Amino acid sequence: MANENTYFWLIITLAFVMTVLGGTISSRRRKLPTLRHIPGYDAMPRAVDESIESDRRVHLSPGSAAVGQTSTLTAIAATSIIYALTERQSFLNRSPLVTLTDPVTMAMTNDILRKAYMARENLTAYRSRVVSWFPQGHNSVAFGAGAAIRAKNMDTSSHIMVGEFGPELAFIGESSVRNRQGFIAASTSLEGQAIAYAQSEAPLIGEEIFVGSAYLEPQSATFAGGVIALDVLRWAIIIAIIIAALVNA
Amino acid sequence: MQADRKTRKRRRLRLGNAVNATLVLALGFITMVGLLSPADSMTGLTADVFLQLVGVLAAVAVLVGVLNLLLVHLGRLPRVRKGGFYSLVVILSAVAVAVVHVLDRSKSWGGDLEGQKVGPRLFGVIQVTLESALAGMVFFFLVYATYRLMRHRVTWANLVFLAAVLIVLIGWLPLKGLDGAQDVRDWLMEVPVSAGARGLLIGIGLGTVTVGVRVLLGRERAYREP
Repeated sequence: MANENTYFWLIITLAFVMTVLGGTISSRRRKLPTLRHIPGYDAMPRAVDESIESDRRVHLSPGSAAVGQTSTLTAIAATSIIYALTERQSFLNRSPLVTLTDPVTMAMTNDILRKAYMARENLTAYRSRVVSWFPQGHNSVAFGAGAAIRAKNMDTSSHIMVGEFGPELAFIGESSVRNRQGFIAASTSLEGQAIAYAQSEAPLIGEEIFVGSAYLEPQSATFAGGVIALDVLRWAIIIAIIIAALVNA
Repeated sequence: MQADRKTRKRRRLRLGNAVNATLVLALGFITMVGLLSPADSMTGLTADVFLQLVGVLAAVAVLVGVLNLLLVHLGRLPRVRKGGFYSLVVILSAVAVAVVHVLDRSKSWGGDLEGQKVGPRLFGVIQVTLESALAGMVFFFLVYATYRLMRHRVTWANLVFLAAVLIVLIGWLPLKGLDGAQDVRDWLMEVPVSAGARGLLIGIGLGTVTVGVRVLLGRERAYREP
């Protein structure tokens, strides 16, 4: 147990130091690091722009990611993406549709939408009712079916589903094909990730979900610092696995 | 004058951000240390209190969510529009579930149902059955998605994906003479699939840590004004 705690603190300290250092160096040099190309994050702003041009809505969802449960940080990462994409279109009166399954996340998402409209000084266009709650828990198939129908009724042009999803994601993907809507998806659960890869036009994989802020708000040094921290941690884990394998060989 | 007001407002917002960040940083660290400490220690007990407060907040949020849901559907009822019937079904179902729960708690059932909980049984009959039926369709959606994937773009990754799907599906067939396919399926599941899944989960874990650090640094949108 003592060992597990040591590793935990080591990872947290490394992440903390690298986020602060990466952010500070980037902002002092006034030049943010060049991020590698992720197709999913290229497709998201494009999907929002298309929805603006076609005067339709975009459907955003963190799925069953829930604040106060083990998926709290997934919910926070997903709402950061929701913020960035909503802010991009918040000069309009038409709000995006947001569907989710957790009531605490619903409150947080409403606040995030309010902030996105406030950032463009268009708070009068903010509508809390565009956030739809489907009262069902983890990996709810009913959520998938309900959200797909709601998105169709609200004339959405694309689905951007980033968060925690299971097999229910397949319904929304299937609905997007039937209704000629765009579909971009990523999930922190393995089942959802497999479906997202098969159905999404530009999938995100694994930890790419957590760097959305750095890609969608590229002017922020702290978000860039987070990407540097993630890369350093990833390499540290790879080196640790190789060393452990060699030692045990 | 107006510019002064705007500057003052901005300063106020920044002060709000600082207070929020300080609160989150302090409470976050105390909870994190508490979760890693023995349960009966001071920090462990403090973390426990914070987590219980989160539980209470979540319960209140569920109540607010249910009220919001009912208000949205009640608002849709008077207007004759598409989906109005479904709103009526939602409202009636919510009322029925509440009534059944009250009757369960007061043990008011008679006859064959005496002493039984009808709520969980109804849930099993309706919700679980519906979800299982819908889940059964996922397989067909996935096979169709694989077909579409190959139609849109043929890449090495997609070819590997298709090959894996075919081998696993053939490997599950209960036919004689397919032992080779079953062995390949088992190897796929135990080695590359297991390694890939672990890789994804480690990546997600690391991503979670970096978001956690951003939260502790007060850089997340959730408690920061624009």
